[in-house]
Amino acid sequence: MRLATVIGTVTLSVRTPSYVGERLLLALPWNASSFSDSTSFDPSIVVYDQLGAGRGQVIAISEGREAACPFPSPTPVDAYCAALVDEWFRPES
Amino acid sequence: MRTARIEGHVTATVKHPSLSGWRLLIAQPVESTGRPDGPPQIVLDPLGTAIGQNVLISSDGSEARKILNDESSPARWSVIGIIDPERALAL
Repeated sequence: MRLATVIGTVTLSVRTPSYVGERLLLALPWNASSFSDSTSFDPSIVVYDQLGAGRGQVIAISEGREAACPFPSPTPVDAYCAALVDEWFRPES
Repeated sequence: MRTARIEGHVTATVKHPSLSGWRLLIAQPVESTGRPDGPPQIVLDPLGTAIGQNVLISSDGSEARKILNDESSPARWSVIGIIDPERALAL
């Protein structure tokens, strides 16, 4: 999983039938410099959310095939919000 | 598999149920000279690693699901070994 900061949500008017009541977040994934530089991020991605993340919150996102695992039927999801991060501990070396 | 350095951990109260009770560590993938290579990953740790250790992490999702014993888990990365500090080449 990767860390990411939520910057907004995405609303769909027309959607694939496998999305039912979806909540989609717009999130900026963290890269190696994000811990020290709070403005450094990777390009934004859209994340499927079932935990209720808010704007500005840091989340842990699961990408790839595993992002589709939590769904009972095949769903086209490649980024899933797996955790709402309360805090991180990372001592500077 | 990637070589990585354990740099810290995250805590999350609200998360997918499969992750409940598991240590979630911040692992920075490094290349052979020790330089960071790619984004830091949040990995499962079934082995009990410490901050500063160089480890081997795997992106095999089926291994993560086996560790958590939950087929619906979105977890993907896990620590599968600790690199011996005496014999490591350049890390």
